[in-house]
Amino acid sequence: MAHKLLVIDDNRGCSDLYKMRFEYDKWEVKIAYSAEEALDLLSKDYLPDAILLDIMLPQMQGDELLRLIRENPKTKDIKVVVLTALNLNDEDQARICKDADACLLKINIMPKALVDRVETLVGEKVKA
Amino acid sequence: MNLKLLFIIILNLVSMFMGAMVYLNNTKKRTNQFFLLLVISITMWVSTLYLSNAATDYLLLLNKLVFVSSSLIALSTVLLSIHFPSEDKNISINKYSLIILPTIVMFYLTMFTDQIVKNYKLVDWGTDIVTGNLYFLYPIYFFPHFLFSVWLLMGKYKKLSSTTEKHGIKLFIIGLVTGLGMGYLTNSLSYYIFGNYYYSQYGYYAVIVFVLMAGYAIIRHRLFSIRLILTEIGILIVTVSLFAQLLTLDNPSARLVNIIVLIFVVYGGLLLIKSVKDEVKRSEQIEKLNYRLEKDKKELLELDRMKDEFLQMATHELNTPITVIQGKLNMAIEEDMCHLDHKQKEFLEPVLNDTMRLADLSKDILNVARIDQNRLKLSVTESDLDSLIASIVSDFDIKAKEQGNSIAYIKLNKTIPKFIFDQTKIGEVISNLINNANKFTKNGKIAVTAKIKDDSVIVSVADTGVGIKKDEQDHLFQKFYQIGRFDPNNPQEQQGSGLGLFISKNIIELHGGRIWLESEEGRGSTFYFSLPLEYKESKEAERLHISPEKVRVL
Repeated sequence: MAHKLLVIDDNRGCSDLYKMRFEYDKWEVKIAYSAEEALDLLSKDYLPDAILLDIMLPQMQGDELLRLIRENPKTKDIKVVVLTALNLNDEDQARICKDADACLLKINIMPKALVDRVETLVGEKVKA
Repeated sequence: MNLKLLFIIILNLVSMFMGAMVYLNNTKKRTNQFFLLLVISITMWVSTLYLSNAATDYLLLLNKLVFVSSSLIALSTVLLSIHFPSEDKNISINKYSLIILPTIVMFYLTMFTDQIVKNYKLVDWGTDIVTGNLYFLYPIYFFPHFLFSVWLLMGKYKKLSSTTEKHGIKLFIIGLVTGLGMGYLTNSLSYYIFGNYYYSQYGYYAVIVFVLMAGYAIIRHRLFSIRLILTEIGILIVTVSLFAQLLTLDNPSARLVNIIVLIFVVYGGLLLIKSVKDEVKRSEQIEKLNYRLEKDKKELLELDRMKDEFLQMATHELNTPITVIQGKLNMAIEEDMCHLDHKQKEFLEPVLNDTMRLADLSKDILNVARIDQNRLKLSVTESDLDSLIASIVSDFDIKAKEQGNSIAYIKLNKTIPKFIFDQTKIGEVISNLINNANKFTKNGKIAVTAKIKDDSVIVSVADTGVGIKKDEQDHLFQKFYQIGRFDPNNPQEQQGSGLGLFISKNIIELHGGRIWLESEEGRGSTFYFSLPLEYKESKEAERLHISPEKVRVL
């Protein structure tokens, strides 16, 4: 069965890029363009295997959403990769990413490497 | 004359003198006017209190005047608290009326009715009062005035930024609160506790506390700025005394000596006055400068913060489209997702390379701005340099092979113990040096070494590449410098942001280390950097006055 990925990013260019690349490797991908949209999806028993989470979102910020995901017993074990375009200093990065499974700068990682990283976190390669 | 009377006369003279000096310093300032009013009220209260126990006539009037003057003390304390240490120009006539009205009521009830002071009776120590039906209004009137003044003054004290002003005002507040508090205790509360006014005669001590504290604040901390006036008056008193003495002397030689002394005193006095004037002026200028410096510093820090915030947002907005362009080009060219032919890939490759350059520039630009503002932050922890180097070398293996290079980590010591450094930042430095070595070496070797020397660890990255010209070596660590960039005879393809070595140098120096190189054209290069085994807060951090607790942050 294909793994499920939820991409939470308000930028359509980035979210389409990740959707395209992960679907190329047979992942099932859904996109939420805001934290509220993501919470709505998660509340409807949609449980992805992994989440790609942007920090700068329209209303509720990504770090606040991450905290809510970790507080919810249903979603607390989902692998979350924080993907940000913000060049954070170490202190801010530690504060924002302390509940994430990985914290990456978008321009630092190519799409294939991102897929490999997420698959490693989830535990196994997606079977074709 | 008995001692108690002498003591009261001296107390009153000193208080009135202090009040007059303050008032004369600037008669238009409300602060000074209400200070004089307070001093007059206190003098009136001390005098009537003494006389009500010592006199034989007008005893009812004198006892009533004790209460009137203590009401005036309460009123003038509130008015002074409003305008102290600087005038409050927002008080309207209506507000003044509201403040003064209760005092007018108490004055009327005390002087023209028997509702507060009904009568007096003679007792052992002097006179005690027979209270009227509305006597209970007196503590109800006095206590809120006292509390309001204290609350106002404490609030103002907290807002003061100047240390000198704070010290002076602290003493003044303590004197006022203690003096008023003692006065209230001995002249109001004691009646309810003991049923008589026996302890009212000790209210004088309250005045001593106030006079001493206010006087010390005035002289020591230049409160009310009257040091100059006091100096002038002091010289005047000595001059007048000498002149008066001169008029009484008969002996010509004694007169001559007196005249000579008088001339010296006048001349010396004028010099002293000038010197005090200059000192007061200089102190005021320094205080103004300090205040302006503090203000400018706050503004600069705020500007720094805004600049950093702007840069963060600007790079965020840049990074987003770079991510998309870079990602899709990578998928099309490297992963062949669009099945492009060779020509199409060749056409697009420079676009991908330049996008990656842009990504490097965006990553580095914020760090460079932070370095320029001395805001680059270190997060130091005890870390394993051996493992760090081994991991980075392993990551570069594939990239090195693409250039036909071999890369290896050669340990020169058995183990390098864990020590304190910023693992992420030092990792970036090592990656940058290896990346540069790989860029300028083809079909060669890259060797990374680390060894302990004295109290430092020396890391080196050596390559068998093209080497660097002597005249270029001096510029290598400058911002945006790239080798061969300005040599039209040997144009080099621009790679990277030109900021890597500049950032690396700053990171190493923030750790208290040093970075340098040895290179010969055509024979390869070796870059070295040292890190102290014992981490100390760098001079940059000291310059920014960062506390030792924030050793992780600059």
